[in-house]
Amino acid sequence: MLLVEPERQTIPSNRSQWLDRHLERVCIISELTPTEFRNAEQKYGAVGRWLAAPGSLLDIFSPEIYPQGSMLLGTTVRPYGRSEYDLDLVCQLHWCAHQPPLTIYDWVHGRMAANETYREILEKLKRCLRLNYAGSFHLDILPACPNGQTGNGAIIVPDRKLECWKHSNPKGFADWFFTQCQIRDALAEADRVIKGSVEPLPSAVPSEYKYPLQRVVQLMKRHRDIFFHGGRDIARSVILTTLAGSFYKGQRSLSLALESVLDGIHAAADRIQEVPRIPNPVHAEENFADTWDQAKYEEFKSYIENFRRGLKAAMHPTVFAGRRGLEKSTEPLSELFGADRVKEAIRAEAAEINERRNSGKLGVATGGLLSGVSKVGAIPVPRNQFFGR
Amino acid sequence: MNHVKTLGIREQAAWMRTRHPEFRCDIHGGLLYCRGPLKPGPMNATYDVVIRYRIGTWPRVILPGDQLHPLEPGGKIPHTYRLDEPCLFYPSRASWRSDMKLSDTIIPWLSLWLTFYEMWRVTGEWYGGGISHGTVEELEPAA
Repeated sequence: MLLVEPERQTIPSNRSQWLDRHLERVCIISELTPTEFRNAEQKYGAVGRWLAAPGSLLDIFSPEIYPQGSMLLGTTVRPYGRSEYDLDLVCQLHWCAHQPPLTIYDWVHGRMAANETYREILEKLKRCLRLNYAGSFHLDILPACPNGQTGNGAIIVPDRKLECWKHSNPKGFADWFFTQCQIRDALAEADRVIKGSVEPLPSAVPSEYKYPLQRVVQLMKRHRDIFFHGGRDIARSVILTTLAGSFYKGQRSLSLALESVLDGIHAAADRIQEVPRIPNPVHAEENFADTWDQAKYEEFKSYIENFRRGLKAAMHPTVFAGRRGLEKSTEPLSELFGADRVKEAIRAEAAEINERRNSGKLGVATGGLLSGVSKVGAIPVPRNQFFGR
Repeated sequence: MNHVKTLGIREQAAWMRTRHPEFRCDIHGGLLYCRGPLKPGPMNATYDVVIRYRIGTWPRVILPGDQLHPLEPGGKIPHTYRLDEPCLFYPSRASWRSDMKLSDTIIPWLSLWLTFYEMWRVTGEWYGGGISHGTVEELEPAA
């Protein structure tokens, strides 16, 4: 399996390395921790067992529960202004495609409501059922049936008004996404020869092992939340994921990957004046942007433009005169991802420096550059205690 | 207890030139005066740094001019003697002795201090740790 090597061993010696680490920290702060992830997995596993329990109404349909969306793709981001994550699950029944969606929905609801624990935290939404685990996450359970004609993970799900079935394929979409995640540089080529083909990563892997493309999607979602103040309907996550996956060119560096994705979308949007379609890469008839009109498309374009401008200001901070040093870059980054996230990322960076300092692994190279102790010409930083107020 | 092998002022200057060739060092009547640029990390500004040292005194580090800024006008900067003078070590013989090279102590500590200073400018929090002035009963003379 090809993993992104965690660069925990080096202290950044150039801007791009620093920015990559900082952006990665912003993502780590924003996503489900491995503990929360396992907790969510346990919860939905229990839901699955309850739905499929022998003697239950749904037993004969062999219900099966699996994550879709950000939990499957490893791109979760804590929502704007709330502490609960939205986690989407598919409750796939079998031999049910001939039933009306409303009936299936009611059956699943009925079985869920028969459980006292679930009844108290169960909520009926337009086309899914929500379990509210206050303070941590809610699980949105979307009833689905297999799409017998297509196979390959294709399912049908109720449309927004529960009137008819719609095509969907979360597993196929994830396969497409993880194919796009491949790092395509000389090093990756060498790795591939040695280690064989790239496999999708389970999303609960230690987050420093995530692919740059997963990080790009997280950052796009985070800036979307900031830019639209929590509004998600214009730059829907599935649109961002599809565009990021389409424009990513396999860079290993997170900042360069993000820049090239934003440049790619920007150039395309510049060419296309009319509201475009954004087809589902694994089901071309589905248009992810079917709710866009000209006004919404223009808003989407200004979100991309704002993102691109901010990122370039952080990468090449000469644009930001009047400030010195670190502030020149953290100012645009705070505007993109929120001052609180940037502050937390700086705090994590400081903790890492102190860890090295306390274990004698911090060095200073020519010019005063902080480095690891193994760098050529570096001398270790001796212990000290800053004095004074 | 005089087992400390005090480094001569010329030795200190020589170590500075070896480790930090971008610094200019002069000696005038026993006073070592070094001045040069320091950039702790790729994101940090380059600082103009002056080090003054005479055997028998604590080394001093000054960032001349208007290089360091409090968060608001009239405010203070953590771990400084004055706005242009960071306190890099607790002035006791346990922290710094005259057998230590300025090049291998003062410069690394200053890089570290400037790193935390720039982080403090962003977040308003000091991550570098240290000791407050108020907790010191009396200062030891330099050794």
